[in-house]
Amino acid sequence: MTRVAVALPEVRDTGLVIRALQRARVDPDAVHAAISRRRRWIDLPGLYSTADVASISKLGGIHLTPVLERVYANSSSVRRIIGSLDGSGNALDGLELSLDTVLRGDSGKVKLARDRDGRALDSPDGWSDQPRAGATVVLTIKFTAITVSIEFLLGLTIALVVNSHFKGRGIMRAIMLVPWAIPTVVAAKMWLWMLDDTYGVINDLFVRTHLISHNQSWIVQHPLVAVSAVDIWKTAPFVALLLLAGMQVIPNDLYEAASVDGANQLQQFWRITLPLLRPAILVALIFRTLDALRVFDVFQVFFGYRLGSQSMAVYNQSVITQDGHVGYGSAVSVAIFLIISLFVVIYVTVVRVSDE
Amino acid sequence: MSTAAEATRATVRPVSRSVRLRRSPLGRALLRLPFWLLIVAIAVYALFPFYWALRSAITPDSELFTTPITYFPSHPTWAHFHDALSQSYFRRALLNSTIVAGSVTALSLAVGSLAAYALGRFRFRGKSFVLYLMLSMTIFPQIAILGALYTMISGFHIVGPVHFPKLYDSLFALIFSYLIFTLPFTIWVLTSFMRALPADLEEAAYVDGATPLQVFWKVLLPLIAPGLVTTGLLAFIAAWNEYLYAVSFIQSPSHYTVPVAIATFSGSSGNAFQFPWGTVMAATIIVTLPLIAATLILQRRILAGLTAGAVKG
Repeated sequence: MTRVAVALPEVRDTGLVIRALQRARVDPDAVHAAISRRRRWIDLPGLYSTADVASISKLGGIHLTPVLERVYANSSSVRRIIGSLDGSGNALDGLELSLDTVLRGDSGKVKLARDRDGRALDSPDGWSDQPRAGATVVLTIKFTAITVSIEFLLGLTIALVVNSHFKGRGIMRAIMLVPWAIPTVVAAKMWLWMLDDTYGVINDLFVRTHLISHNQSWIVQHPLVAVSAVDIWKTAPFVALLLLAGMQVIPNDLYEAASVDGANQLQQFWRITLPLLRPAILVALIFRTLDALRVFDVFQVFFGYRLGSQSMAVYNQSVITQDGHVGYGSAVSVAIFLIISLFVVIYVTVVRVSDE
Repeated sequence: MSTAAEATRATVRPVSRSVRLRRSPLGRALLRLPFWLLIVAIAVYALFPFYWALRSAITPDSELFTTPITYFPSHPTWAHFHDALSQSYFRRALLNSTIVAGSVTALSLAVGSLAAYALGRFRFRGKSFVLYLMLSMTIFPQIAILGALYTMISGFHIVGPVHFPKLYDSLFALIFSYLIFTLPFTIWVLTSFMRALPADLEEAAYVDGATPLQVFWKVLLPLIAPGLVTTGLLAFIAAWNEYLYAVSFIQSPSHYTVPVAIATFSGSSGNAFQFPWGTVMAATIIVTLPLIAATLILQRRILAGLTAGAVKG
């Protein structure tokens, strides 16, 4: 949602601006009042959808201020559980209501002066109230759980397939390196376009195969699925390569001995491959978890600094560089570091216990 | 049940249908079919986003923004590539990234190989401590030092009465901060390469009267050349792809690196109603093609470098 303001001195063609505002479904009375009152800066009442006002954003004299909003499930069956919001973003029922305090976050207040032309002036006081992000930590941990588990399973499958002997195995391994070499920002942009709600290929493929009935706006309706998809695509082949390297050091004699003793493929996998692969699995899991917990690029490219859609690193970076609160930001950094170390400790103890 | 009993039973059993299927060539091909389908599926999954970016880059706008979407462009065009390369700030970003990633690679290799010589070839007190410090630095999260780095980079240009040029919003800030994560990795990998070299070569050179630096330059460096190529490429890719520091320490568009430029891209052909996806995709192809080419050419070495520490460690 967006607030619209008009700075009259900057308006060159009044008629053009009026027509543009009408196209964006701004209340005509408000438009005329705004133009005729001869004030230099007029805030138009109400909120407008971002799509409606996108077309007028480049006209001289029109200032748009994005207003953050909460996004919720669209399909009716899910909405029963997840709950819904009213038009102005207040929780009505379901999970939305019960978890409201976690999900909401607080909007900040900033003391700001505007000069006569409506330009914002730096205020000596700065923030009087810091905004608080919604569920930064929870969101990042969810993201980590989703991506690391899927990447591990997918990576293991790919590694098992590619580990068998076939023509073109070298080419396959080269192909698997391609997603890893592509910069994360670039990969995020590629996927942003593939997930486009109108011209996106993902919607087209899913609708053609009847997996979904109509086009989805993935970024808005399923943000976590969308970011996870990018991360999984980029790193699952890499996890596979790590596991593949681990599989290739397992001596072949073990498998031969097992098949002489009559063990089938599945038994061989459970009793030989998996236990001997444990060091490689541990390393892959630890590295992936560390990477996922400090995820920055994908979230920043997909959602910018939108409250409620920040990963821990995005929140931390915005506190330090956007707000300039280096001291508080460093405290957040230490907290992130502790959370990450906690996960490493969990991994190492779990694996050591099962070793005994 | 004993295995011997089972074996005799197996010989008595008539040849089952599955065994017959496995023996004929056609049957064998049929059994392999799911396997090959899986291989093709994995390859398509890994390559499709790249193909889609390429397809979108050579599809004209009139075809790009229509439904139903086309999977192969019917009128391919280079217009989006021209548009992307005609943006001065995108060209500038390519230059900036080349400068930053090139300097980072050169510095990491220069300092890294000397450090690896010391760590891999000499005995001194605190050596293993330094090595483990390096190792822990490689997995240290970048975000954890952002605050400290930000303070240093925005404030450290004044030392006493001397005013150095500002680091903030300069490419030096990026080179400096990228070395923090490329250098430990380079040192760690090159040290393992140095250790693997036999001592005889070095001793022979000393007997012939070579100084330590001559030994390093003329004997050891040529021998670890494969390691230099691998770590150099990995450092280059890491610096080329880095986004967090680039977006934190750079403000003016003329100093943007490639990832920042791509993230904030808005081409000239785009109008107010449609984001210029074709041009953005052309730009992504331009910046990834060299990386992919280098990766494919050097894939064996990269794999060795990436997995060396992972599997044995």
